[in-house]
Amino acid sequence: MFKKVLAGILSVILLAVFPLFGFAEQVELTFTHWDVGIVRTVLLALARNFEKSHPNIKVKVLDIPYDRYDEKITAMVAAGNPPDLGYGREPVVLEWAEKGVLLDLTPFIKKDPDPNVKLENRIPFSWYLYDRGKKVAGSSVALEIMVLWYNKDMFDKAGLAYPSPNPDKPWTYKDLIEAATKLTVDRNGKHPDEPGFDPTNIKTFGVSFSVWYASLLPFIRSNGGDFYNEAATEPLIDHPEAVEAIQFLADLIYKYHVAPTPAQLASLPSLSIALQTQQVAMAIDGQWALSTLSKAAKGRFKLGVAPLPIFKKPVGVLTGGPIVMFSGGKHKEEAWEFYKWLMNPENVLPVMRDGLWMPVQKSWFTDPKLLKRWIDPTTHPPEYKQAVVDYLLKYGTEMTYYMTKNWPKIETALNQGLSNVFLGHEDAKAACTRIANEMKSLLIGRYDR
Amino acid sequence: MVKRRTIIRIITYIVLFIGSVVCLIPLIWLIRSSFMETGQIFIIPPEWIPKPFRWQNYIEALSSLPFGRYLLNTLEILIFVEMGTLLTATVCAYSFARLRWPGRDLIFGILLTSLMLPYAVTLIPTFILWKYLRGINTFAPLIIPSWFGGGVFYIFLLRQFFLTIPFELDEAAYIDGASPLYVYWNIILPLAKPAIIVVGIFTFLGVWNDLLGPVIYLNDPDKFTVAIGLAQFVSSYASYWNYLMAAAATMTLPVVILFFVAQRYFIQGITLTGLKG
Amino acid sequence: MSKKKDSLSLSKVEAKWGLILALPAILGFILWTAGPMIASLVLSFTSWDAVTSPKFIGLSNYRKLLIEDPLFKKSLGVTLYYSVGSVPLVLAIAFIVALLLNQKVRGLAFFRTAFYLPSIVPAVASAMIWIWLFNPDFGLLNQFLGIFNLPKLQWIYSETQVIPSLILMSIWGMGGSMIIFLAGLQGVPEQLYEAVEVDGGNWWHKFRYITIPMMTPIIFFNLIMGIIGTLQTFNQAYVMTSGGPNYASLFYVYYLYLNAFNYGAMGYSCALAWILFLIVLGLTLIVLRSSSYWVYYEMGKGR
Repeated sequence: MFKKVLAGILSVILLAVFPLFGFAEQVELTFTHWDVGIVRTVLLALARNFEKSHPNIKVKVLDIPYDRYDEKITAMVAAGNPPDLGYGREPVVLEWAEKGVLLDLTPFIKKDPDPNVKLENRIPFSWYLYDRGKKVAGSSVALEIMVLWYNKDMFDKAGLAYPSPNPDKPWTYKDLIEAATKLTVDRNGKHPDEPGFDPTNIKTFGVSFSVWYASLLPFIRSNGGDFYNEAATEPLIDHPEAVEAIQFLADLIYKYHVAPTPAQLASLPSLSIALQTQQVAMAIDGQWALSTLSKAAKGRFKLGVAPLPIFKKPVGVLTGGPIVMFSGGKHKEEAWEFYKWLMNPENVLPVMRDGLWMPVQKSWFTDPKLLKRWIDPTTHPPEYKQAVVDYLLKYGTEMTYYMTKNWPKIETALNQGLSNVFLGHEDAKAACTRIANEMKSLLIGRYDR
Repeated sequence: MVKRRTIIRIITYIVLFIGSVVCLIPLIWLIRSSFMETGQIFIIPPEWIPKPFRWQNYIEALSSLPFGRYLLNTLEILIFVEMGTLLTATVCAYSFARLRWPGRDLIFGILLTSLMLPYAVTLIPTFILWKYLRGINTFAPLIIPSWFGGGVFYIFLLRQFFLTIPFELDEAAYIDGASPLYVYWNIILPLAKPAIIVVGIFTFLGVWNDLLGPVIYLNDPDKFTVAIGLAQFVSSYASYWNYLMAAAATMTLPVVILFFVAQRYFIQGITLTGLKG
Repeated sequence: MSKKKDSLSLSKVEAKWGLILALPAILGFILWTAGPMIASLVLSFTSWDAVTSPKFIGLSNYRKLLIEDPLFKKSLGVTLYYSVGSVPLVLAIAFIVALLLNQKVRGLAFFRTAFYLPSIVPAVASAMIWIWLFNPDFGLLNQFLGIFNLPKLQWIYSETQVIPSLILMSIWGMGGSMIIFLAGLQGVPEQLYEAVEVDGGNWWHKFRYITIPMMTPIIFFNLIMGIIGTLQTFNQAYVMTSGGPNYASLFYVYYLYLNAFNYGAMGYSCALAWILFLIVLGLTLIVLRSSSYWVYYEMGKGR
């Protein structure tokens, strides 16, 4: 009889105490993203490692093609089945945060002792703030900045000095034109400044760039201008500083003939191949291109990187899409754990060493020991620290576009309005005046002020 | 008379030849590019014979994603959708074309309106509907609607074809005591073979190329279809056009084979001038 | 007496079977289609962003659309321009090609496949091919023009040329309509042509009095579907031109899509959708009305 009672009491105690030993219910998190290739592989590995150290959490990684990301996520949210966390498409992130679709991360950040997640320890502008700066919608997965990539062998062959890697004394736009002219050559071997040069038959372009806001803004800001004012209420694109910068970029194509037209660009292969096959000598692109460039360069050509050429002062434009948490998610605490995991540079080291991402914590940019860990000398050019890290730290400016209300419509107005400029059919001045008019009714302020 | 026939024949051949060339040159360019290095694709003047001839492109392209698995999934969906569409679209078209019942034409008109609203605005309500039917992350939303007429496009198409068949045939059968179902199966269907084949081919294409449906409704990668595979492929190899062409060429091949084979059921041409022969 | 009784019971049997056999389509419409369609209509009277609850705002969307939004008019204009250019051309060329492919010529299977092939190539490959074709410097089209010493064109890189360029692209992809015409031609009984020959007619008589009338139901189909399809063009804008240059290829459904998924204006999108619906419905009804004058059904009227 006594044995029975003892057994009974022991069972009760065991049943009551079991949950405390981590035999908690299995929680399944859904994480959505649009990456493919190496990043996807890394994300999957991340998820598996996370599961190992958090045995009661399973992470389901959902692959969604980038083209259809909006439709799928919108449908999931509308049907009440949002993921727990995932990539946020920059233009809609803050709008959704304001509407309560995304979670405000401030309480989580406050509660958590981990220094990695504190705002102060991050590169400024890596957080997405809203509600006049009081709330946080998410953080960039990885910081990005626009830079100038180039093929060192082509400079050697032409006897030219490399673009300056020093962000305090970078190339000016005049240096760019000069070098690009010497490097551009048509199929008859003529340079743009020589008689008989045929712009429809160019074999090598001195510099190439895609026409989008991230390529234009550094030059506009370097000239002292901007798309619109800091409060995002008045357009500035029709001011001479912006017009000059935009005209300069269009002139690279149609006046100096050193850059490809949109049509010519469409038939150039990817940047890494173009640099490798010497169809392009320099390119304005994001830091993320390092991932494919370093692989193409290995054993074939020497890759170089430099801060963007300036007009009046050096300016770097930072960008980077956030990861967000959805308010409809059912396991907020566990989602936060995985969020932190993704934000920890230690866990995403392979992607940084590969060249695709950069860290978001300040210390990883300033502490020499940490710098050594993610700047892999076999993928990153030797001047990388100066040309990219210092450039970013000293001259990086915020990515106002995502904080701007109505950005998707403003972006459309910008793209459509400038299309004829970059097709060589229109002057920047006329186009910018028109765009400024369109923008007037669209500029209604920012989310974070 | 003989001369005129020959002249018309020659003109026909010439026009067909020129037309084929116009249609095929871009595709030959695509296939040629699929065997090249990306950097060579836009070289001027264009090289029509790839040097080196990279067979590897196809292997590298297709092994980068589990296309085998994707293919199985796509085929599974395909079989059910073909059966459902061919069966229910013909039956419904028959009813709208050859049987009289109150409200027939009005109802047909209402069905037709479903083609007039862009998918972007019905996407989310439909998704919510399937959520309540517990169809998310299953093949159900992709298969089940095809068993309910298969889509008004096909019903409309078949209806028009059925209307070109003389009614005397049905009448004769009815007088002999046949039921409408008998007439449908034994008289109308055999006569509408070309139309049915067209519906079969179009349905195949529809399932094969459908990206939005699978993306919206499927969550597990092991359920993905070939179309999703191609989309993911495009994202990762955005500028590696040689791989893209290889993947696209592979995607197109099954349809081409299907079409070539289905030709047999199309009458092998008639002569517009003169008697047969 | 008995005949009348037969026809009465025949009509009862007919009506019963008619309804039963049409049930899958009717049920399908009620289950999968009607609900979402009505939902989108109701939502057009709200300011819905798809991720929060809809808020009723009455006719605001429609007012904004008709009075304030210049892009509504622009996109409608672009789409109608494209449609008016593409539908007749595609119809005519598909019909002519189908006629040619219905002849007894050698290599028929090859020719038929060649003409059909362009329309089954995946959109991504098609886009790539046309970027090459349209290239102003070395694209095949400009090279072709160069042979006749004609000036080089800018194609999709010009505001004025982009829609005609896309119309050209649609002609290359006419394979679908062509196949439908071909199947229709197959359905014309050989005896009818023989009868014309016996009466001493030539190819023109055959064409005018047999082929055309017998094909009108199919022409009717391709015409209606052409109108419905071209007015909802989306892919070319999405994949190739992004609505440019300078809004010149901002197709209506592309603009609608941007509002729905980029601008968070799903309610407004629904309003745009229903305006398009009314336009398409109107045009379809006009064609339908006219059809009694030119469409010949072998089955005869009244059935």
